[in-house]
Amino acid sequence: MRKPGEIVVGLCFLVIGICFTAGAVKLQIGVPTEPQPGFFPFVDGVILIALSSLFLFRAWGGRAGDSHAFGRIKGPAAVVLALVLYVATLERLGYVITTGLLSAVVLKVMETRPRVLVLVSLSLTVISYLVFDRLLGVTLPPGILTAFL
Amino acid sequence: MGFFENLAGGFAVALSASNLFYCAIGAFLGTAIGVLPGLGPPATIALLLPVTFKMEPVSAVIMLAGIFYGAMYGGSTTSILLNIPGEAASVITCLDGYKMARKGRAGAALGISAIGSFIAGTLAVLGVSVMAPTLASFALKFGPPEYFCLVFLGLMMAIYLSEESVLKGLMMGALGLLLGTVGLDPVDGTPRFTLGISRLTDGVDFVVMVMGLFGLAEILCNLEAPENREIFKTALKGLLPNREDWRQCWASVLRGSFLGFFIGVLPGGGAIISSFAAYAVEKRLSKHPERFGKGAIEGVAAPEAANNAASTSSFIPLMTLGIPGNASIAMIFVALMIHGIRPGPLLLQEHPNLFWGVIASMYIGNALLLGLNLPLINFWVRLLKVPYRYLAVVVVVVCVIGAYSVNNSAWDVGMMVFFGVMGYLLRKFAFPLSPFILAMILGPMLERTLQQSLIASGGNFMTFLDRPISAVLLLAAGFLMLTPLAKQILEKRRLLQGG
Repeated sequence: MRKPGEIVVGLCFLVIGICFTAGAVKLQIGVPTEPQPGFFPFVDGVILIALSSLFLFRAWGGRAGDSHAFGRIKGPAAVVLALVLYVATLERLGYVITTGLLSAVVLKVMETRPRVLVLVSLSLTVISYLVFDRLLGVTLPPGILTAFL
Repeated sequence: MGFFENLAGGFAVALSASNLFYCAIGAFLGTAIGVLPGLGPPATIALLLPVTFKMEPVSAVIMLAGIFYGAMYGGSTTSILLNIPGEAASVITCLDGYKMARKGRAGAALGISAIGSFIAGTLAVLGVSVMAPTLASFALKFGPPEYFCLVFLGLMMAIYLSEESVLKGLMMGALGLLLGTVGLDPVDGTPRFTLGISRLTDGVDFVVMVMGLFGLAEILCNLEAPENREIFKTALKGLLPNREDWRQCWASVLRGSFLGFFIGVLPGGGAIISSFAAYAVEKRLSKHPERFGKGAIEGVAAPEAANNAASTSSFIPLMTLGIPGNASIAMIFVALMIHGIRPGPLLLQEHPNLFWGVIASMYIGNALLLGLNLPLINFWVRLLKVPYRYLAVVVVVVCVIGAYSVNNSAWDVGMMVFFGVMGYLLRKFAFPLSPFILAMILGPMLERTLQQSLIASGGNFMTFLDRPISAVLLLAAGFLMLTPLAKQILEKRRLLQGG
């Protein structure tokens, strides 16, 4: 059976192969006696284009091999969204606030009771801050709590 | 210096208080992550890599190696008690281990698994001590063409032996090689594929990438399914196998050890394949194959011995040829590189303390693991009762701290999230990750040796076939590439004849 997801994945590989091959040509390929920076990526890019074309051909015929069905993607999607916001705000708001919120989202996705959620995310944030920042010397961003940390 | 003097020197290093401590930490953490389903050795080693930056290189490798082989010991516990493999290499142990537990023989299954692992681990360390120096001195004769063909063969084996389709493995290998070219050109320093982003000048950060691909991606996959873990309730008594058990499985332990050792040496071989192969061999050799899958103790002893032997022997290609054979060993390769140590045939000459110290620590680690696994079995069972949500949130937090600590930058956390999503999607579409990781690590070596070979031979590609060692290696790689194609043609011909 033809699966649209597999065709999209095959197209992604194909586009990556084309981009790298085009980039390698810009870098100059050279000749085997005097290979230039683009030589190796060019050869490899062409191989990836050929392989992904074969994969697309097979996926189109529904013979791309096994894949695992997606389950409840709401959970992973919520955590990824929380992580994107985390990256965007980490240095501005600081480690303590952002990590506390991130932990709460992960625990919420995993259906943790509210009281346990607050307790675990708070203690995990504080303990991880103390262990990594104070004990192991990792400089975690203080953000808006600079005056207190 | 002779073998015994070298080994004695190694023990002097491994028995220092700090190295003993790191060996015990590694063995303990390894067992814990082996016991807990949902976090494998590559992810754990990647998460702990930043912690090792400030450690002595020997201590760092001793700890990381302990995590790797310790996970093989711990992996069987969940297979036997939960019918859920804690580690991919323990999948096959579920078949007979869980059946033994249901028959009230969980203790004997756990016991033979730990003792068999100890015997196999110790035999494999002995094999590594003897075989590694010989192979390292042989590898000193290799020039760029031999190295190119060796790396190429290693990649082909990793692809061929990965569980997924060969086409997907080849695509992942090619993608890994391409991503490995991001950064400065190794010869003339030209920036390649950096998109004008200065942070990409040094290439894609390997530690950050692996944390995402293995750590975060594993959590994202597990978030899909509701938490459902039921521990088989049984009285854990009689952990030592009885005389009849030993009579049935002593040969299986030895066969599993030898098979695992030799499969582990092959790049891409590793613990997973060796455990399946050992199970298949035992079933075929057994006078009562019908007992397999119904609680045969040989079905637990042989795969557990094999996966331990393989995890130990997979250090041979790393330490002697500089070629990591699987994702966990690739992490140890990275740890060595971070400390400015290049694994390969010169490792033994340039860093004998590290080489022999790590080997001696494996003897000690195996003894420690036996001590950790049997008396502490009830502790590991209790650990399994900790809800997965707490493990998941800790892993996510450690991933973000680990990524941030590499350069004190949110950019790296963003990259980790990117690779986490990529790893999640690749798992869903059953693309193997090992060929990708190995290709990314080995890509620069492959490119350098290809360029050196071509320049030295005046652009003659036949140079790879003119030299006997490289020709044999290249032919073996070609054989591996053509085997799936030949299989398909034969299959089609058979179907046509049948129809």
